[in-house]
Amino acid sequence: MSNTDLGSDPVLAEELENVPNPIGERLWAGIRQILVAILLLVIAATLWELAKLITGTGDRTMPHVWDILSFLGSTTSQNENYSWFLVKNAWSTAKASLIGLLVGTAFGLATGVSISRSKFVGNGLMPLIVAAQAVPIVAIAPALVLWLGTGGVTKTVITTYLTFFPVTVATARGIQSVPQESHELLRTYGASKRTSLRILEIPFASPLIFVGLETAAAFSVVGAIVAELPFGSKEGLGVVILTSWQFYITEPRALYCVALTSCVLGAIFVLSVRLVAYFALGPRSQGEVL
Amino acid sequence: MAGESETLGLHAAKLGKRFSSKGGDVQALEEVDLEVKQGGFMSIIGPSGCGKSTLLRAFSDLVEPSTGEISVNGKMPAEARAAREFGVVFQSPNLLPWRTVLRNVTLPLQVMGVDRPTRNQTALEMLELVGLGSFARHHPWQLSGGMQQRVAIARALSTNPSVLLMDEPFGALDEITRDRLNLELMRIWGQLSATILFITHSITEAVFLSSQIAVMSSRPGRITELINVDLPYPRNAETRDMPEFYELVIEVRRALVEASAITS
Repeated sequence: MSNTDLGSDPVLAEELENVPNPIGERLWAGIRQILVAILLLVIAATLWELAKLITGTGDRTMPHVWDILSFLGSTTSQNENYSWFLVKNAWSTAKASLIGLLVGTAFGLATGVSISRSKFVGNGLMPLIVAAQAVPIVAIAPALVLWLGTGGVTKTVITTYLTFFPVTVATARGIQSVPQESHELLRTYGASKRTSLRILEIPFASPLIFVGLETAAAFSVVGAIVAELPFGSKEGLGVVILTSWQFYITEPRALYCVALTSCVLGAIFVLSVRLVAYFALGPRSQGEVL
Repeated sequence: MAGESETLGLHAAKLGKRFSSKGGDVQALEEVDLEVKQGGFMSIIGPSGCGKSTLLRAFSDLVEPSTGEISVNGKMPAEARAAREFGVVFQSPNLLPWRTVLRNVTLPLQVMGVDRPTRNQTALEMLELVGLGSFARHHPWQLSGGMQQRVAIARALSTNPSVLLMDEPFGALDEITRDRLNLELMRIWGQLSATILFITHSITEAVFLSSQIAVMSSRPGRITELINVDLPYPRNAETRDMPEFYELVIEVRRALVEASAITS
């Protein structure tokens, strides 16, 4: 379909406003984003080195950027490539994060819909949920480990706990923003509540839900790492962070490497959500949230 | 109840609607008697807040009347809605931005559970009718305001209703687009022979389109005058140049001024 179909109807051609070319524009916007991200990384590394230079901080407290990066090529005591060792542990954390993210999203969607449906549920539930979010997860993680063990269940519970909140808020707020007239439109068709949810409310709220999901994706990685911190876990980035911290005096670079790996894993999660949003939302994935 | 044929069209008898709010009650409608015969085109014109939208919303089952009786093709509005007797066009196009033009038009059919091939075919026919057949795959944001409102009309027509309830559908459009869509609406109405209730605050629009104009006053919302528009159908661009057209415009304006005088 193109505007030239209108050749026979000058009236319509006149009415048609400029149709932008979203595909090319969005591709360029994506490339620009990546370039900006690389630039920011270079700036961050430069600032690190500058701070080190100006304050005269020693290599033990602030290793050089290139020293940290070169450590990725070293071998562990198990005669394993350090990068590979990090990837393996990151994979373990990623699995736990993903499960928690999925369960948390399901919970969040259900809670968000119930809150938007009923003022009673919303007013009663929302303060409780907010209060629950204020509990520092690091404080209760050891208790959870004691109750549920160091296995996957604990990780899932903690990541679910951290991820469902942003999804809940985004879903509830998104559905509440559906214009009254759209509701009325569906009412004139005699649509049931379930049909409205499927056809109107969830699609309308989905750009906002995806914003919540991006936050949740970052939280899910943090949640999984925190769940791995208490002693007893066998693998995962949390475990590596803990051991690297213990050996910081002899090898400071390891801690920075695993911290960087955690950042990368978080970024991969967030960008994956953004990618899903891109395909699920089409033109609506850019620009206005609603 | 009278025979079926006599109850077709729109009927309201002693219709009243009172809204309660913190600032006190508002009598939006009082003792409104209205009859739109089957195939008729009635416009309701009146000052802002006179309750003309409330009247239309009562017919479309979006507002429950406080007193009086109301029927659409002899049925209560809720029954009429269930029987798909009417389609509603709102002031804003009210299109769902994530759906293509085609899928916006299929929306009511989808809710009704019509299968995909049938509803796509019906929607395409309706889009052809409003002159937007080649825009089926576009998204609403790619269309101008006037085109969006045409899509809304196609959507209202997709369930093949015998009654069309239009609440200031062209109120947000510029004068030129509005005139053009008035012509379009006349053409479509001629093809469908539907009963139309049309809310507007444009005098020329009301005269151009309607077979009858009901003038309303506000607070309480009442019909103060009923004006027959004896201009020949089909109406076209020349209709607007007829001396009778101007006489009617003057008559409606006078009736509106009188209705407003009652208010103040």
